[in-house]
Amino acid sequence: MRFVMLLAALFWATTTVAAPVFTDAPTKVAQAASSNSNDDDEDEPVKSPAPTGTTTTAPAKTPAKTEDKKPAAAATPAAATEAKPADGEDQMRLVSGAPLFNPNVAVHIVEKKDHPDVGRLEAVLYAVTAQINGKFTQHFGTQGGLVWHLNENFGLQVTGGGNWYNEESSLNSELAEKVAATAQAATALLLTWGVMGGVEVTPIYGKFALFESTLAHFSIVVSGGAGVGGSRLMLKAANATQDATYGDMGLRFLTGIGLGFRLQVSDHFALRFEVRDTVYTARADRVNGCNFDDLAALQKQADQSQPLRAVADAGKLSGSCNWEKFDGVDTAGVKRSSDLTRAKNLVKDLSSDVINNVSFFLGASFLF
Amino acid sequence: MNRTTLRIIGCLAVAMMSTQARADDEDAALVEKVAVRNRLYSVAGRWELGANVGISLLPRLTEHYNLNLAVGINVADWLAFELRGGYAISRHTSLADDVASKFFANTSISKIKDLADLWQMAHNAVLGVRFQPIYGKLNLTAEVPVHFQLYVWVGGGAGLFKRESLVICGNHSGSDCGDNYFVQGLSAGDIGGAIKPVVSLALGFRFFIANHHAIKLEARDWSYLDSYYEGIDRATLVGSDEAAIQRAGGQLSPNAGITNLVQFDLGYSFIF
Repeated sequence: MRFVMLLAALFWATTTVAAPVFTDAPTKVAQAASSNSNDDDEDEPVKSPAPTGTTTTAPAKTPAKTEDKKPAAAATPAAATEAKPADGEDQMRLVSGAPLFNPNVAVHIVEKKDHPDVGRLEAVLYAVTAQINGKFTQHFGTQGGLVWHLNENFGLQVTGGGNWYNEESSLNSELAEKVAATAQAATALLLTWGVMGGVEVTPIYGKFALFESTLAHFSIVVSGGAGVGGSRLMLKAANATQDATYGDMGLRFLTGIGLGFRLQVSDHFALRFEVRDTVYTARADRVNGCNFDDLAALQKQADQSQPLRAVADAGKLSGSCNWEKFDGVDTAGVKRSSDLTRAKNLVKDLSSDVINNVSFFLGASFLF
Repeated sequence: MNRTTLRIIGCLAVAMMSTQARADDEDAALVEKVAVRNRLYSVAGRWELGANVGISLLPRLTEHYNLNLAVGINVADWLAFELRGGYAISRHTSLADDVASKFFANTSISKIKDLADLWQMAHNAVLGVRFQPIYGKLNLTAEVPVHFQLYVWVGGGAGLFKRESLVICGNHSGSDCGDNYFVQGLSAGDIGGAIKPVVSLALGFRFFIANHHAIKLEARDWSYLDSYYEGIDRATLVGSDEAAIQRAGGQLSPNAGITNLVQFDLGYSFIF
């Protein structure tokens, strides 16, 4: 008899847990169908009374749809031993504190993150970065990055990479060809590579459904940082016989802000779609490290068909001037000193600008 | 308590734990199912009326401010048809004006090639389909969930265009030309009709702010055929009409291509 009573008590306990008809649920559903909640779910006319712990037979005013009449917990022993609830009772049933069988209930579900980020390291590969505001320049590149999520909404970030395509835009070429005009040197500065460190904030988290089924989780990512990058300037456009030539314009201080989506594919993988604005100052006062006086001295030497080294050996150049870049011939057999005129004119017509390089970043990340 | 009792208790404990886990899983699945199924804002079968303002994302030689009205029907939660029409206020950019003044001041160029992408859209009307399969929620703050749809819009129609050349000017003096080659109206001549077919694509979000109100943010591309003259002998060009251009050797460029006008659109919809 003692065994039977014990068995009955345990069985009762089991069924009570398995079929939580009226339980005060944990916060799986953050905003249940409370009568005075401030949530948007308020807009829906939920007719269920607050949980009282007693069964009620008051029917909901809106009939449940056919598919709604199959409670998910029906497979549990408790439900199997009970008669199938009537529609009204079915709609009153609380699951995790909310009457989820009621078709009028919209559940506010965005507060629980299925894939928490806190304490995790995220490695990001931006396979393609493409400039989207290229008036006089056009950049395409590839970048990588690391994000250390200090907490759910804040992380430290390092990003770096190179622009494997950095050229003047088709508009600049068209202006040069048709109206003999080009953008100022500083405005047409090309960014070859860059490394930036900063922070990443994810203030907004959400979920969306594709059609009526697949759920996906996403965050809106805001980033900001500073760093350094390399720059160059086109000296001579490409033609049928010769590649374009470029002058090194030195390191630039970079700052940047970004806004984008991080779409969580699984616990370890995410996709990123971001737009970043990289801001840098451009001042065309040196080409290949040579100032106007350096370039004038080098051109005078080149015009006299004298070796450029002689000017350097005579100590007539500034210490930063990389005169070798103008020495010798290129792969097409053209003298590099032919770039001196263009370089000198660029520096002579001193120009400066603040450039906003707005780029679209498309990438994937792995969370450790 | 003998061995049999312990065995029964053990079995029941295991059964209870597995039942608990299964119930939790089923509850979680049900939460997700209900959350997806029960959209707070369902638009299926509802008409909508909207207004949009678009600004050029990358103005090069022209800039546009496009004012549109739209009427649409959501045939399903994920599909809608929309008719948009309106007028774009357009003009040359300061860069274009600068290019023109420098060209007229430069007499060393003997052959005139007009610049690409100078057609300016005025009136426009397009009919399109809006594919909106993604419905989501996000938290702006802990207590303010925002419901949205992500959509792709594809459509076509026609636009009324005008074009003012930057470099073709038969009667200029100094760096100014008060009589540029200008195309407008319905009879545009060989350069092509000022009414052009237009293809429009958009990617955007629609944020629901109440059952009948939504705010739209979208990037929209308007594509249309470009056309312009080149090979004009500057010395013999007298006058700024099409006949004068052709007398001066002007020919339509065979490589004019397509102009893409990319805009950022901010819109509002009232959903009936």
